[in-house]
Amino acid sequence: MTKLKMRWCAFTLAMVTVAGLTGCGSSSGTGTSAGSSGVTEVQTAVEEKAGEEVTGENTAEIENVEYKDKAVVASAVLVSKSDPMTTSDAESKMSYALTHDTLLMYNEDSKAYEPRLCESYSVSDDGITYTFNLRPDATFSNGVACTSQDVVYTFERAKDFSSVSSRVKSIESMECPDEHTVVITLKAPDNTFTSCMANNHLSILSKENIETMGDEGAALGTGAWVLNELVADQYAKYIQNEYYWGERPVTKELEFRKMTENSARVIALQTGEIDVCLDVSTVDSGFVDEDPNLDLVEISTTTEIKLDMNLNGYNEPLQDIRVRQALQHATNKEELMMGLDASGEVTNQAVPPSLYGYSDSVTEYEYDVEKAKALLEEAGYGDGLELSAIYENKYKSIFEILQQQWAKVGVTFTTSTNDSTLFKDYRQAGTFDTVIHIYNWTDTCTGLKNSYRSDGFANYMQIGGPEMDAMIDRAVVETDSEKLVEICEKISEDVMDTAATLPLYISHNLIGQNAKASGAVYYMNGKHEFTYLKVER
Amino acid sequence: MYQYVLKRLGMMVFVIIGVSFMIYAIMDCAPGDPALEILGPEYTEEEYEAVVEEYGFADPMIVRYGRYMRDLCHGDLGQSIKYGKPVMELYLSRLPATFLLAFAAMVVATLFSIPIGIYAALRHGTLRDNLVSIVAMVGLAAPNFWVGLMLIIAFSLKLGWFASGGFSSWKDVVLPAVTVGTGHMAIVMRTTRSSMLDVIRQDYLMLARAKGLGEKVVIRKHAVRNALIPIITISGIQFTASLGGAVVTESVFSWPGVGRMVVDAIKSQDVQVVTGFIIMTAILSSLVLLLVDILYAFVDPRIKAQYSKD
Repeated sequence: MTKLKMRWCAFTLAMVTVAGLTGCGSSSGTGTSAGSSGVTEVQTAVEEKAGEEVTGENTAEIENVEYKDKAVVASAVLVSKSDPMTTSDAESKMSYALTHDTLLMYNEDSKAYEPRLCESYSVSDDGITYTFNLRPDATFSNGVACTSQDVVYTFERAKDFSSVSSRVKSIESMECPDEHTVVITLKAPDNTFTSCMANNHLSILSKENIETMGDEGAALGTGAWVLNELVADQYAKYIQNEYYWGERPVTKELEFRKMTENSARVIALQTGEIDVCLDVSTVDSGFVDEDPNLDLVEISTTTEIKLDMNLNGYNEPLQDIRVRQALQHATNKEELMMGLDASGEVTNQAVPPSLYGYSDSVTEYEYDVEKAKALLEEAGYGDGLELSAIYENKYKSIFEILQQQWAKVGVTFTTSTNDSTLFKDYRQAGTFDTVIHIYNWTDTCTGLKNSYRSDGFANYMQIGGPEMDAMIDRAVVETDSEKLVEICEKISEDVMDTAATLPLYISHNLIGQNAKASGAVYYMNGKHEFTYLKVER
Repeated sequence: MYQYVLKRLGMMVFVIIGVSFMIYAIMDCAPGDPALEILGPEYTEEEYEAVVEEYGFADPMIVRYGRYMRDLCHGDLGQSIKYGKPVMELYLSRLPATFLLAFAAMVVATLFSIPIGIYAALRHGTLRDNLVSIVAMVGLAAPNFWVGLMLIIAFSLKLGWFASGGFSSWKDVVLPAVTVGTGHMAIVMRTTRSSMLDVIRQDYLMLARAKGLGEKVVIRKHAVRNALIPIITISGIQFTASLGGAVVTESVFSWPGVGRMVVDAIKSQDVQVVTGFIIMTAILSSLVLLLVDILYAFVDPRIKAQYSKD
């Protein structure tokens, strides 16, 4: 063997040895044993809380199961600030749900707002006066008691923050008859007020903490967790709140980790480095589904993807209801879903199915190309029609599929702009034919106001008028829940009768989690709760 | 030499002005609305107007740029709209990770590419030389995100040797460094090979051999040293490129570097972060290239003499 060959062999051997030594000592994650319950149903912490009579005790001792001390949740986004009032972005809300409490919380099963930081609340018959009875044991994470003065202080402080100020503008006055009672009087009845009371950005803050610590005091809440470390754009680490009023979580430490790359996030789930992977893409969902150590959870959301048609007269053909109905009949939503390979369900209504206002009596437009052609012929556009759309670039695939489908009925569909900055300009100027966009519904009344009232910011089709506005205004102040549902359903039916909005689908959220993980609550509005997330060893 | 260094440092002022103006202009034209990034998906018109008013988004670009330059003269890079923290603080928190990745990638690249480039040059025209060229081309052509994901699948998922992402221990730099280093390796290897080929044909090497020096000494003491200038140049350029942030690699490995934060800041229209980070990167890159120029003087005495003359 020549000297050179011997040297190469020695070099190769040395490199392999180094690589082997480097790999041997590593442990990239906790291994999970085989076996999966294959459970995809959502477990509710509310149910666990309600059924658990023991407070402050570790349930692991009762169940004789060992749980990991630390649970890790990975997502493409991360909380940016620790003060709930300084930002309204969706990713921060999950963090505030851990560290802070709101007065109320939304129960998706009962579709009603239930007490959270308060033990009970009542609304006067005229819908103007709200009385909240706070939990007497509620305490901030540094031991300071939570009183009615803190509630008043929180809403007063909210007026100084542009991102949340409009949510308290309906408040006329606030009183504290005693340490644990708050009476809020509104300027007028407002059904959206309860949703504001459940909004994480109006989580109750401590007056004493903020006055002594400055804005840093706003990071301390009454939630089960305390934000221990926040490294911007990387991770947020939480430890248990020793003074928490409710059941203490089993897990000792919680970490939210930012991992932008979808595939890398799923791989981290597979290796056991993380326990929950939010926003699993449809491409990667197969890996999670096939892995016996993982569960794939599919959650319907309240995010509606739709196309709205402009009724302000900018495009003459669209003012004819027959043209709009023709476009409805020309759209094959099932085919659209298949083409997008998106996770979701087709919708034919103005309001998502999970919210009240979803009506069985709504006009549904079935896919029927011949009927679409007949309607266009009747309207005088049998020879063809030109329409354009504005949309953000991420909805380009939707546009392209609609373009192909509508071409079958003689409609030439083009792009006006797919530039996000021009979007608002076009809308404000009213110079567009159709718009493809999404709307995230928080609650029915707010959604109807924003989407269908004539001054609603998401009312791209500029539908509305005195009658519709009056109905929406009635819904906002209606105190009888049955009448409220009736009004909302009527509005939904009227909107669909105009055929000016073409609901396409409700997106689904795919979440991957360790098969041994439990206790997480996944909400349709994306504000998932991980307060009681726990992972068996 | 000192005058030369001072002149280069002085030129940085113009670099900062040019870069900052360009970034402001580009961000002004970029799609997206920073107010919507602050407000999120649920907001009212009143909240929107209030945020625009508070942050001055409605002001003309030149007014906002003027305010920014005024603060920059006081060493203030502004505050991040998204994180509410000083931009300098954010940058300094990310810089060590970026520096480590860039350095580790250069080590990986030079450790393999220089010896292999020399080896290929000495066996010019042979099968081994061609193999080396093929490997270099594959390294250049392979996209970083693909290389990164393949490494994660092999070494993290299958073998469990390394974590799939993040930066919690020194071992976590290995896979990202190899990913970034693969691209650098190919370029440095090719440059080394070309440079060596130029040098080994020179007459002074023939003279050295004629004097009786061994081949190893001829190559190590005479050929390699003379071939170093282009290698140092290209290595310096690669290093400064990495300092700007290996964005794709940082995203794949969730590496807490500068590049990833800049990309997120662009998406969320956080102009202060984008401008501040790019200015700091431009300064750092200029300093690194200045260091490379100074290094030439130590490698090649003729260049040192030229600096002294200047």
